[in-house]
Amino acid sequence: MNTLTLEPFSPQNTDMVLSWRNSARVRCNSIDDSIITKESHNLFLNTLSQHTSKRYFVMHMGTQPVGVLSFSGIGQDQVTWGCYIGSEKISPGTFPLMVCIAIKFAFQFESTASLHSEVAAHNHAPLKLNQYLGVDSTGEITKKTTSGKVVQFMQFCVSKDDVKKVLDKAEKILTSSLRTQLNSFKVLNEQ
Amino acid sequence: MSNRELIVKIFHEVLDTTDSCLSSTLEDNTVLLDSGLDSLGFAILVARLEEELGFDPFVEMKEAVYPTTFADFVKIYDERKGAF
Repeated sequence: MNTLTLEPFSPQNTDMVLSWRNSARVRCNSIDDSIITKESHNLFLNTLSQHTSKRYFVMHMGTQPVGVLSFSGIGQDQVTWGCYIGSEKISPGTFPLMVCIAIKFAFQFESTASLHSEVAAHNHAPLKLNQYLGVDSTGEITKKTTSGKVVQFMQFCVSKDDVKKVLDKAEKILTSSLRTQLNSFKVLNEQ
Repeated sequence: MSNRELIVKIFHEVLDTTDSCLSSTLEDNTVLLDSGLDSLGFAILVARLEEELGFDPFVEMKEAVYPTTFADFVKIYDERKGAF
């Protein structure tokens, strides 16, 4: 059986992460749509090591790295998360699986009362998935990306009371192996 | 019912479930990304097929292969069925 692991960002996965993050496909849905250099990523890694409220991971399914999950606000009542799929070759169901992992990871901390996310209004797949899972839309906001584009973002929130409802719905669209992986995922090198 | 017939049947069910529309007739050479089903739809399709067939060929793959066309998708199920 494949195992699902979250590997913290590190110098070892920098090249892969940057190749994903700097792709046009990922940047067009990001508030920071600039190209990130290796130097600035290394500075970011130093910052991460000093701030336990921010957690960035590469998600692996078995031995295959498939994408990135990020969290900020860990240890506070409001946690914000984001993700992108890196690999072009992913199993169907990977994206709903990432949503489930984000919820499970964020709400394992006692302090988490709500989990927030923002999705560009032109990024239809996550908007549709949130709607399907019954994740509450809490508003919309216009932001300027790093390159100066004005983009509308939809805001979403899963409250602690909604966790079971959303996970139950999400698990119905995962195959049994993905559900098994979800319920046994591991965080590597956890401090 | 052949794998292909089952996949076509469930494909249409999922289109309805997700309020999606088939962009054109579903043919062997239909490109999946242009078919009208998005990532949510494919997740549901593969989960429903697992209910019917008892396996998920994608999770069993040693090296992930994402099918390009509808025929590629059906072939993955036919080959998995034939392997056992």
